Amino acid sequence: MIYEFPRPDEPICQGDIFHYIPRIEFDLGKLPVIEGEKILNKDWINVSKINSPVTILVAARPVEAIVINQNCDVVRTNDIALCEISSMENVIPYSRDTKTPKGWMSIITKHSRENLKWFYLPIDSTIHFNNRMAVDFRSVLHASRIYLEKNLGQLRIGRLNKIAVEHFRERLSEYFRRYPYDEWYPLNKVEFEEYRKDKDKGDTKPFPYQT
Amino acid sequence: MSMDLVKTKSTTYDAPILQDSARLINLYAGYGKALSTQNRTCPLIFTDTPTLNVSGTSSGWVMPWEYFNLPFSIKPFAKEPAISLAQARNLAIVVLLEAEKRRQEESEREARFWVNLDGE
Repeated sequence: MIYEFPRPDEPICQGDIFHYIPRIEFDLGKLPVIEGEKILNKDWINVSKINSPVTILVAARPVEAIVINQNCDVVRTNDIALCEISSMENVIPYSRDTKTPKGWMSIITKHSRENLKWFYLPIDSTIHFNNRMAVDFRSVLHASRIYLEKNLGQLRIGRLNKIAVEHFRERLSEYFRRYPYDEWYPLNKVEFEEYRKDKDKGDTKPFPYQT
Repeated sequence: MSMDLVKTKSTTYDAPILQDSARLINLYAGYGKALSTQNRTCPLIFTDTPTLNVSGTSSGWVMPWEYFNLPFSIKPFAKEPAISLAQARNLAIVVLLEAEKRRQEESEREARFWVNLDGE
């Protein structure tokens, strides 16, 4: 559908899809730091005061991910930035109740315009996406460019085609261009009261002209 | 020195009530400056809470650490328990799984928001 399959000698591009990218998690308050023969549970602030590299035991899970660097940066940068790819059910939990084509149409078009935190990737057995997938812009990973380039044949499973990557880069930039605002700012006093009744979770504060 | 201080809580950031606060601040600022450059293990400094503790214990005569403009994150007396390799591995996996659980909970929370929005 929206995927293509570059040869292993083709350079990495924005929209390239990889598997087995490590997603590393650690708790900064309880880092298992290896010191000599001992492993100490340390707080990162204390560790950082040493001001030299430390060895930490962390867990990693291999995940699928898509390159978000623009193409010029991909050529030069030491580390490639990627966003994690996961099933639609994980990224958009309410999609698990969607059964009809009309429902999917609504999520894929309308919802994706409103909720900018994900990018839809359709099922395609050639790229081994046997479920509907989504790029989760909230989860940004890094991987060594050199390592990825050396192992393109094993790690790169495909890339977005021309039209898909145009949409992808637009959505990507929209996600990072967003900024927070109080959407109730233009409501008059009566409209604001309706808003507060309907949506207030305790953090809706009126502007002076709404009281 | 303790005659000049009034007892306050060691576990809060409350400003101490001082009989002669300006003089004491100068006095302890001098201590703080010296300790920051020479001897951070001086027992007068109690840093598990951001306080200067004259008595050397976790409660007693204290002053807010911030008065000295020193980083209060240095914890020379903090106990860092040694753990076994098996415990460290287990901890690392638990951290990974908990992070994934938190991520999923966040997605669920956001999903409810968007479902509600769709119903309008």
